[in-house]
Amino acid sequence: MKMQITNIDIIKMRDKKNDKNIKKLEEKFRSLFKNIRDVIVILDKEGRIVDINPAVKKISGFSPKEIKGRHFREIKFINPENRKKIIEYFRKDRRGKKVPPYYEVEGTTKDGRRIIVEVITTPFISEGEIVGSLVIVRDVTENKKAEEKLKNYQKKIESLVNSSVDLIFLKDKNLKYLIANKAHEKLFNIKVKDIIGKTDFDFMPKTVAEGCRRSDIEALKSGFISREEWVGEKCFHVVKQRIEDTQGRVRGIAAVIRDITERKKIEEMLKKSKEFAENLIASMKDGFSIIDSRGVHININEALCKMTGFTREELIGVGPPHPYWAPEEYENIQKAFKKTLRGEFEDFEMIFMRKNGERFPVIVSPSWLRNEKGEVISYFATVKDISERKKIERAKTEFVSLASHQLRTPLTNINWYSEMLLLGKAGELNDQQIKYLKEIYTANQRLVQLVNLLLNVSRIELGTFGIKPEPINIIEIANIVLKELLPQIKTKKLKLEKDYGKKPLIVNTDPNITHIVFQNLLSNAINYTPKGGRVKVSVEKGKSDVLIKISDTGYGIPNDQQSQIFTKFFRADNIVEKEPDGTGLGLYIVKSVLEQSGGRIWFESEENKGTTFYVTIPLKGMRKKKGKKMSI
Amino acid sequence: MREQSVKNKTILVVEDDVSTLRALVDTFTSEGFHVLKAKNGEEGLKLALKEHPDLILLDIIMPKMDGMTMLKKLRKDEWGKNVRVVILTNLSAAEKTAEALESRVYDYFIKTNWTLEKLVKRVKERL
Repeated sequence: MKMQITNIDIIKMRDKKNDKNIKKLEEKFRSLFKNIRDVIVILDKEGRIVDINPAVKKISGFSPKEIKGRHFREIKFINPENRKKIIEYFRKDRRGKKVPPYYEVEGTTKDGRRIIVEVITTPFISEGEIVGSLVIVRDVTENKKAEEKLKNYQKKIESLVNSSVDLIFLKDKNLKYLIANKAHEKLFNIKVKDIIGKTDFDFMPKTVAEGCRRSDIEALKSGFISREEWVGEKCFHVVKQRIEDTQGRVRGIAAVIRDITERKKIEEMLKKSKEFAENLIASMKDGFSIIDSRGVHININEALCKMTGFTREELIGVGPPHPYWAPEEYENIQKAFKKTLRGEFEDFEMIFMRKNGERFPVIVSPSWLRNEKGEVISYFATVKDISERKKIERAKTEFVSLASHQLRTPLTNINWYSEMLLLGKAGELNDQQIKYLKEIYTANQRLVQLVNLLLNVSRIELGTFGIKPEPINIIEIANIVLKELLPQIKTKKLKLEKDYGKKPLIVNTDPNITHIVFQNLLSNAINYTPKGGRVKVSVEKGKSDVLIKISDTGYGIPNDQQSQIFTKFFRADNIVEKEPDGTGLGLYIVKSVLEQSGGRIWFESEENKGTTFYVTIPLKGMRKKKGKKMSI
Repeated sequence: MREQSVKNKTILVVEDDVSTLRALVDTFTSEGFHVLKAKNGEEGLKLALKEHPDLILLDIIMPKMDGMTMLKKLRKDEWGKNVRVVILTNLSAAEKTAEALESRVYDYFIKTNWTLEKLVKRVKERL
């Protein structure tokens, strides 16, 4: 606009023939005309282009030469319909009618690019007469683009704000709404347009409005608040920010308010259940620990600290090995630990160590924690101090041991006196007397066997069962046992197959244990196979073990009881009726002594078809074990 | 021939249970042995050192002096250190066996597991 005034001034000044100044001004104007970025077009009365500055080349791609002398109608970079409009304005303007001060029109450059230009026209007056028009064309394409972008951006922001379930609003400093989003409509059952210009008191219950006002005022004073506020049954997270203009004057507040009632409820619930779990663990009498997949303690309870004598600080973040693992138990514990990490959660007994070095027995029950995807995220274990239980168990076992030894004295006497009578040491007996005496003798023999078994069990459980390997011929032991059992084999008319040669098989084993193994497995095979059946014994030397196989064509072990047959005193249902005399101790003893000595035992069985027991004894020999001393 | 060899042999039975003691004494006497008897380790030791029997049948658990103590004392004696001793007990704890072996015991028998017949046979073999 200033430019336009300058032109008029120049003309006026020329009129005054102030030549010197005019010349200077003309020079200035020429330079301006040449260098200005806007296009300046001078038209004569008919609308023919008298002059146009070089800026046109930059904006439209057409050079001044291509345009000069043509009619405005022919200016190609302004689209035809717009040209018509501009010419219309020229006419109106000249007739003194009102026209817009500037207008935007569309155009096309020489190379076909779409542009938007702003056009200002003004009559060109010389010596008081309108001699033509002055047109200024400014390229506003870029500005327009930016403006459009801004508009789009605003629209996006608007839809974003409206799509938010949070309440978002702007209030002026008198706490009247300037902007409110759609979320208000649902919560207050009112249209947004009816909120604008109102205060909270106009559409909220009074008490609620008062609460809002208090926090609004606080935000105005302090500049910013972010907190949880309860309104009746609902809880909101409220963020309010004071708005200031560039001069630092307070203009109002902006706020985002989120309904967090549900979250709060869940949080409360979680907090309660967490507290419950924590109290539960803390109040447990048993030790409790949570470990990560590497075995490091994440958490432990007070009971575990008390039990072991270590503090929380000494245990959390530590291990493995954990400070309360007795060094001599490392191997066992590591094994159990690896089992747990593999997902086999069996209870295991082990020895723990207190901080003062004192040892105590425990049962560790491992388990796991899974996340919602079912992945194991950590493991936990309860630890039970079983010192007392062990003491009681030991007292029981010691009692059994003591009682059994005491029983042996009268058993010896019954044995020997019946023997003496049977041998006629007290004179000839008649057949009936001999028969009765034999009954006494046989019954007593069974008692002796039972006492021997009980003593073996108590020795295993008290740890007094020593293992003393010496080079022995396993074949010989098999033969000795078979010879002992020959009478029973004959009575039952069983077919005995020996699948081993005469060649000695010498291995470092405990003769007593080897005898126990053959004796129990063979007498089981004989006792639990019906008359006329078959019992087969084979002994073979493998790569690292001796494999002993004892199979029969007997009653077999019912499928559902196979897992229990090594349990102390267990007897399968199908044999209890057929052979009521068994003790249920034999296999328990066999398995215990074999496992302690480094051997293994397993079986295959089908009811009414038969059973095969497999035993291995390591070729390198049985593990030596010194039996603990006992007072009796 | 064997009967002949047994005739001059003396065995000492050290056993606290009267009934068991009688069974042993009667059996070995009827087999032709000269049998001495003692009810505990103390008596047994005294008798052994005085009579120098050919073989001692020794119980372990006894009042006053147990069999192991008696055996150890016996082994300190010039005559006693070589006398044949057969342990005859109802104790089967393994360490006792080991202890017995250290004191050069010929046999270690569990009473309930042996018949008198077999016992006599074994004693005769030892003499």
